[in-house]
Amino acid sequence: MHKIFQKIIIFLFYFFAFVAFIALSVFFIFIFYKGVNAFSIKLIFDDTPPLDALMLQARVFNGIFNAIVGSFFVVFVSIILALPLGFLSSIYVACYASKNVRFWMGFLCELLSSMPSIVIGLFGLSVTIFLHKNFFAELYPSLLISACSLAILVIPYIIKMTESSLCQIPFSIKNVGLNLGASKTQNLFFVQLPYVSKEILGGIILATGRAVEDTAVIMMTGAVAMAGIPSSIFQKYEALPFFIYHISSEYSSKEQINQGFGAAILLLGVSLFLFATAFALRKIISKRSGFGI
Amino acid sequence: MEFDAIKIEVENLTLSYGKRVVFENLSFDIFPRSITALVGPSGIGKSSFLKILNQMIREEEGLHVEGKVLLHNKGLSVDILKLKECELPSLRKKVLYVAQHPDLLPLSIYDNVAFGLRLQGIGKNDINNRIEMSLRDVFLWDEVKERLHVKADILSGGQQQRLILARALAMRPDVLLLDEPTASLNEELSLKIEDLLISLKQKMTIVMISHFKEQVKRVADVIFEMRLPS
Ligand SMILES: Nc1ncnc2c1ncn2[C@@H]1O[C@H](COP(=O)(O)OP(=O)(O)O)[C@@H](O)[C@H]1O
Ligand SMILES: [Mg+2]
Repeated sequence: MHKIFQKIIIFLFYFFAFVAFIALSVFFIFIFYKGVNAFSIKLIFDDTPPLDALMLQARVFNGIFNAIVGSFFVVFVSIILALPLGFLSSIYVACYASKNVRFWMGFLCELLSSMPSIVIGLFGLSVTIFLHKNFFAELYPSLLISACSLAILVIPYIIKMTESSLCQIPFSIKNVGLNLGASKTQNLFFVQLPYVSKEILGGIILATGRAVEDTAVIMMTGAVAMAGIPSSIFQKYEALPFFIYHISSEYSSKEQINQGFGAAILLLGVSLFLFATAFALRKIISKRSGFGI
Repeated sequence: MEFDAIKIEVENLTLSYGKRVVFENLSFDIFPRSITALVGPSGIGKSSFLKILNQMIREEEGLHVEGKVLLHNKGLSVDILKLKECELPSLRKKVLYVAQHPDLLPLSIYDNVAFGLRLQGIGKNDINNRIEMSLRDVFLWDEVKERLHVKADILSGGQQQRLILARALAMRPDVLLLDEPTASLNEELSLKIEDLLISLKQKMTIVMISHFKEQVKRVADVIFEMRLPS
C-alpha cells in the first residue's frame, strides 16, 4: 500500500513537471516562431540605413531602434541611481543598524517589492506634477523621471538580496577577519562582501531585468510611442515594453503586430543576455577566488 | 625577536547572557611566557573566556561582561574591556584566538595564512618566509608544500586545525589563545604539537583549553579549573 502511494506521488511530481515544461516550451516556441519570422533589420531600422541610424545621423521612424536605445538609457540611469542607494543602505542595515531599524527596513522593502508597479508610476507622475506646478515649470514626465521611478521599483530588490546574503554568512566566516586583526571596514570589504559577491551580482541582474521589462512605471512617467532618440534625460523617449503594449493595443495591420513580436523576442534576448552575463561574471569571480586584499 | 612579555590580570570577571550567569567573579593572573591550561566541563564558559581576552566576545549578541582584564606590557597597563572599537585590531594582532573549529576562508592554503599578514602590510618575501616557517612548525609543510594554491577546504579536519594554528603563528602574536588545539589530531601529532607549544613558551604567553588530562599535565605551568558553583 505504502509503495503504491509513493509511486502515485512520484508520478504526480513527474506529471506536473511535465505540464510545466510543456507550457513553457509552447510559450517559448510561440514567441520564437512569431518573433524570428518578424525579425529583420528592417524591423529595427525601417528604411533608414542602419549605420546612419547607429551614428545618429538619420532618424528611424517606423522601426524599434529608438525603443531599444530608450530602454537601454532609462534602465542604465535607473540602475546608476538605484545601485549606490540600495547597496549602501543594505550594508548599513546588515552591519550597523539596530534590530528595530532592520525590522522596519525589511518590512518596507517587502511592502515596496510587492507593490504593483502602476502605483509607483502613479507616484512618479504625481511628484512630477507637484514639482512642475510649484518649483520647476520646465519639468515634464521624461526619461529622468522614469529612471527615478524605476529606481524606486528596483531598490527593494537590491536591498533584500544584499542584506539577506550578508546576514546569511556563516558565523565563523563573518568574523574571521576581525579575529585576525582586521577593522570592521576591512572585514566588510575583504571578507564579507567578496564572500557574497555572487549574490549581490545576482540581485543587480535581477533588478536590471525587472527594470527592463516594467511597462506600467514608464508608461506613466515619460515613455511615449513616437519620440525618436532623446537628446537629454529631460525628454520623452521610447521603450521596448511600452512599444509592445502600444502596438498590440492599437494595431491596424499584420505587419504591426509582427513588429510587436519582434520587440518581444528582443526583450527575451535581453533577459538571455543578462542571464549569460550573470553566469559569466560568476565564473570569473569564483576562478579569481579573489578576496580583494 | 619583537615578542613582548605580556602579563594578564583578570579581576572579578563576570559573564552573563541575559539573566543567566555563565561565570562570576573570576580573578587570577596569567603569567608571561607560561602556559595556562583552562579545564572544566563543557558549557562552563571556557571558550567565552578566551574570546573575552581578545574581545571577540563583542561580536556576540546579548552577552554581558563585567570586571577587569588588565594587560600589562612594558610597564603599560590597559583594561581591554574598556578599549574603543578602533583599538581592537591592534589588540587582536597581539592576542590571537585560535578557534576550536577551523574557521578558514574559502581561499587557498597560502592565502588563508597570508590574509592576516597582508592586513598588517607585510611584504611578499616576508610573507612567503613566514608561511613556510609556520607551516613547518605545525608539521604541515611537507603535506601541503606542493599545493599551497589549492583551496584550503580540501584539507582533512586535522590538517585544517593545524593550518589555523599556523595562520596564528605566522602573525607572531604575544599571547596565543588556543581552543582545544589538538581535538582532531591523532596521538602522535598531538604530542608533536604539545612539544611545539612548550618551545613557543619562550616567545609568548599561551592560554589553552584542553580536555586531555595527560596533555594538561605535560604542558601546563598553571592549571585553572572552572567548576560549576556547588
Ligand atoms: N552567543 C551566545 N549567546 C548565548 N549564549 C551563549 C553564547 N555563547 C555562549 N553562550 C553560552 O555560554 C556558555 C559557555 O559557552 P562556552 O564558552 O562555549 O563553553 P565551553 O567552551 O566551556 O564549552 C554556554 O552555556 C553557552 O550556551
Ligand atoms: Mg568551547
